[in-house]
Amino acid sequence: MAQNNSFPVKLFIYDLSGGMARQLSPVMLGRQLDGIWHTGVVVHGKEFFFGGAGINNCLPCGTILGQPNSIVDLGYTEVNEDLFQEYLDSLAESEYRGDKYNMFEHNCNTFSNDVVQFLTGKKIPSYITDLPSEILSTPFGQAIRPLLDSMAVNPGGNNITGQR
Amino acid sequence: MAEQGAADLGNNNNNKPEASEGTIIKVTVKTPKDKEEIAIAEDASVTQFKEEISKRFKAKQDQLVLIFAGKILKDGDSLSQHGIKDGLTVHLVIKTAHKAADGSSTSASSSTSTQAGNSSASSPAANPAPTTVPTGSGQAPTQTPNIMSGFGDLASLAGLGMGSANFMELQQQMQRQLMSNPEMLSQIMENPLVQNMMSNPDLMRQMIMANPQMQQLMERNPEISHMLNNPELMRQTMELARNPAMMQEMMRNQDRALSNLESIPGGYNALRRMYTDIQEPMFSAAREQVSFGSNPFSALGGNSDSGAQPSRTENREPLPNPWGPPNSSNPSESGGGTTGSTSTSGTTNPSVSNPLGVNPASLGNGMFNSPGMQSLLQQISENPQLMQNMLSAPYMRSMMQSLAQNPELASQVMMNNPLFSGNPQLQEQFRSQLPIFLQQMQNPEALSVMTNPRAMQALMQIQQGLQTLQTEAPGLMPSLMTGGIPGVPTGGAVPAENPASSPSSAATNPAQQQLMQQMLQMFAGGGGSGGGNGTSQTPEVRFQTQLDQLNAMGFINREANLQALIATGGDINAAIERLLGSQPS
Repeated sequence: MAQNNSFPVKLFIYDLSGGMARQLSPVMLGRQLDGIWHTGVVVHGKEFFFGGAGINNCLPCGTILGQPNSIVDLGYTEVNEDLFQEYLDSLAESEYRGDKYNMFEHNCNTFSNDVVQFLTGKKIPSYITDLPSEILSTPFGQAIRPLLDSMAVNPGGNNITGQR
Repeated sequence: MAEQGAADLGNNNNNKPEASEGTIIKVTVKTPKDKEEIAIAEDASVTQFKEEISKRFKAKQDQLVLIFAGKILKDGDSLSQHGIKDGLTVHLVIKTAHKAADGSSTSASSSTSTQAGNSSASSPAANPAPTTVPTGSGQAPTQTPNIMSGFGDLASLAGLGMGSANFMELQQQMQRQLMSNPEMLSQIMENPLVQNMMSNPDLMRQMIMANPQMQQLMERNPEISHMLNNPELMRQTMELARNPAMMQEMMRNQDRALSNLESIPGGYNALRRMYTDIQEPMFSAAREQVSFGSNPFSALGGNSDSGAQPSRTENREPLPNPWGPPNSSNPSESGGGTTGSTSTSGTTNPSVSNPLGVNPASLGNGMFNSPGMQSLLQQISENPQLMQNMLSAPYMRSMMQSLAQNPELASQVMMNNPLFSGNPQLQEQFRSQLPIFLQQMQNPEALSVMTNPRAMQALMQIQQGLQTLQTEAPGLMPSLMTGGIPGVPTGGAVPAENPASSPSSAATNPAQQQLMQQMLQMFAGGGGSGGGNGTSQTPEVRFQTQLDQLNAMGFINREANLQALIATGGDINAAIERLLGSQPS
């Protein structure tokens, strides 16, 4: 396998609350949350994310969330597109099927974290992965947990990996 | 060998294929589905590592691809070269030759189908549309990408936050209900609100044109745009849509005419052609609309004569029905939503679960009285997310826009709401607050505040606080009398109204006005920065030019000017009238 090419890997971070979390979280939750983070991994010219319908991809900034709040550069990967697609296919059959989505425990950020570790060996910033536990540690979070468990975030994109 | 490997997990010495002086390290090998710990010599080569892995994972060595820290491990390398140490994780992908081929072909086909635009794929999508939930296509796998792309807007809109299943389900439930209950349909049609909407051809045309799919259709079939621009035809159509009996009559005539046409040699083919060219895309465009009740309306319009509608090119009465009523149901639904939210002023106090204070019973008659609608509304009110979806749907936007541009219509809509008819004072208030209200509805921050139950609660608290103040210290805030009444979404307008009404009352206590202004700024600032843009301009800054103009005209009371401007949303003439009508001096 002569693959010496390097593909840049970026993490797109979106604030689902549009800034309201930063404003209202001290009041509502009792602790400061800067945002409700959704992430997508951008590599090989596409943005990949996990939502209620499964693993999805689209053109970067192509979801209805528009432009990301921040972009983290995660370095480079040697994994080429085919290999990555295979990897995603396996994931889509196992850990990241659509029905496995759980807003707190197994969400878009979990997916991004796994994918980024696969691609680069690094993890995504901890303030993102710590978010669910932060919310759940407040009484308000506990109260709305049943509601959130039934919800899923699906920012669109019609290229669902492994779609049956 | 597998047993040996398993049994010897603890005994590293027997595990090594070759004797080596290096220490043994345990490396975790992770596949998408699986995870295994493999013990290997520290200075082993990648090839040796792969040998072990192929034994453990039961795969051929050349199918294995190892990735560590973003690098693909090549056979000639050694583990230490890549920095693989004890306890670290290496990723593994087991290649299957045909899987790789599949992966590229499906990704190619799905990308082309999404890029190919929705219209072409919409025909196959149109048929399963009413019955298919997007996550499970239920069709042959090859059609799946088409269906997803055919849903195009639908899926992405549906995914706005509720997750496709929930939102779509809700919508489809609604559709099913409507389809099965024709009375509901006629109820909706009879609602004067709906009829009002429909009697305004301009509005209708605007809304129709705002639909991107419609625009696409119009591009391809210029006749459609002709049709739209023909006011006579529009009026006729809307008359038709309004009057279900008349519609049925039309249908029957059509049927008869068509059957005659069929008997003409070659006529059937012409019909067929016309159908596929024009009607299918229309129907699919109609079906794809994300407005409640769009599908049953199209069914209503086309159902009785689904086979060969277009008899003559000119006569399109049945055809427009698919999109005519949906656009009316859309505004009526969303208009109902709007008015529903504003009409709660006198009725239910909002609570957390019922953020808009939606009292289903009081939400106007006719349309909202049927239990199906009520449950839908309840669901909406209980789930603010849904409301948000609805509000942010592009159709809603265009509806809002047209409302904003046509304040007369908006006031008409509101006046027709039976809740207001008995309360002229309320009407007056709303009329005066209308420009602000409309502007606010346009403002996405305001929208998101509106749908945010906690924000609504906060607003309610503010209002209640004001009211308490008013009763406790009537001398302090006499101006709050009138401002205290309006409902929650106009709570934003309340602070705006208050400063406007304060100059109208005799008490021009500058301290009061300062307070009002501060509150207003806070609200505007809070809404602005909450939206994330951070452009929280105070009204003073925004209305600077107008203030200057007023000053030049001789209105030197800056406070009063500002409040008048705020109340009228920056409209100088209206502000002047306001100021003149309430001369404080």
